[in-house]
Amino acid sequence: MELLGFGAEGWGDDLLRGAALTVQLAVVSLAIGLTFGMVLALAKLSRFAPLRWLAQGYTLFIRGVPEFLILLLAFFGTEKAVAAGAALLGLEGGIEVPKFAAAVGGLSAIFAAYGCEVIRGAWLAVPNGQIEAGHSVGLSRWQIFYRIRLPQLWRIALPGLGNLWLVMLKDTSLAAVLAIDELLRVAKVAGEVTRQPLMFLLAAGALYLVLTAISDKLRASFEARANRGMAR
Amino acid sequence: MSADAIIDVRDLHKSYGNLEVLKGISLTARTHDVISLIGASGSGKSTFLRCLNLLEIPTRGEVFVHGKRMPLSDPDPSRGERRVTSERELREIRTHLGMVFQQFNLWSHMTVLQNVIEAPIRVRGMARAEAIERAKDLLDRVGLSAKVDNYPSQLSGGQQQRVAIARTLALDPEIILFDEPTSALDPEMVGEVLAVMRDLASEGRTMMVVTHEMGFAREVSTEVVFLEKGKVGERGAPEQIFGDPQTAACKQFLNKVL
Repeated sequence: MELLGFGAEGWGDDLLRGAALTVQLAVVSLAIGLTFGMVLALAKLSRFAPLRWLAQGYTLFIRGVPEFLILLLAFFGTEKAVAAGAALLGLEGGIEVPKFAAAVGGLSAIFAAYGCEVIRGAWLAVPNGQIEAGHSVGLSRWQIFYRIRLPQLWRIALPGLGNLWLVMLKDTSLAAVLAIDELLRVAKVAGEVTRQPLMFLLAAGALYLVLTAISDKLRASFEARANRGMAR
Repeated sequence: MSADAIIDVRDLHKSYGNLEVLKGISLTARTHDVISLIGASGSGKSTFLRCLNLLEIPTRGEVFVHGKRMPLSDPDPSRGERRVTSERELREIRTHLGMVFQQFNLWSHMTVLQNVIEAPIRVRGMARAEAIERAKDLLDRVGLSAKVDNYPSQLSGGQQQRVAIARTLALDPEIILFDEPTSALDPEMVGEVLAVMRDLASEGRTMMVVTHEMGFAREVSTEVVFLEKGKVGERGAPEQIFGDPQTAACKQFLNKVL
């Protein structure tokens, strides 16, 4: 049991650091993924056909290949691109691709691909009459978007986005393949060093459960707030 | 065009693809006019009203508000839809044209008060305290001062429509367009909304009302316009239209609904 403690012999602090990195990965990817997902949703709703095709093609690809592969692509793809760019600029030597950035890139790309469908559906679910009412009193397009459309879109999209968040929180474990010391990788290393793999895997599992439980509480309170005034 | 015309509509046409819904309608609303638009469903009443504030873009024809042409590009059959040439100008004009919808269209995530103060604050730049004070007066007028902090889903249809009227009045528009304001209401709630509208008419508000409430049209209107298949079938004072309709179509319609 002292192996799980916080002393020099214990791995407890390492596990917690791993969990913190997991949360960081997920939160940053959420912010970027949500933004990109909104852009994709807008592209899919666009009147301009090539924009729609582009967005369709993107989601078709991301949803069609394993998440694991996307993370690998995010890393090696950027590595290649950075190397090519460096060569073009005449820079010598290896330039390192930040692993954290590559993992965030991959995770947010995945989140956006699934999230954009949730956002698109929520966009269409806001009653058009309320948008017209906004026009009729002289609100601008932008005001209508952030005063009328966005708050309601948020309410409608929250449950779906909450699910995707849980999926992504757990997908951060794929970042282990890029040698990022997130929770699962720390647990695996600790298990190998101490020859107690099961104990550390169970400990990691418990920590994931804590994170998802907190997430669920947060989602519920967001939903309660967003649902003010809505008939149940 | 007379000087006191608030809205002047000239030869308005609207088509959806090959379907021509409005086939050339001209109409003028002057200050204190209450014009009722009646006619069978599909005659184009609502489409006409929605063309006035450009919620629908007319295919041909012009709308003037206080002599100022609505900012639309010239009709060009080869290029399809007409464009709004100035969003800013359009927004400005829209603040003078209130609109009340059949489905109320209150913003469901805002309280009654928030619904009413939104446009004065965001569009007119009114101070929040002043907007709230005015909104409370207006809600008092429509008999809903007790519901200020309720959400639309907590109100009956009749109450929601009265809030929608207060929301429109908050910008003090020069004319209010009513698009079948009582058609979505349970029968027992029609009266309370009509009472508010009568009240507005009696204080000299200029109104254009698409309605199936013939009693209201007869008693309150200064002019009744009967639309038939996208054209003005007959128009005149209410006593004339309801008492002695001239066209066969109008007679037939009134026989059905009265």
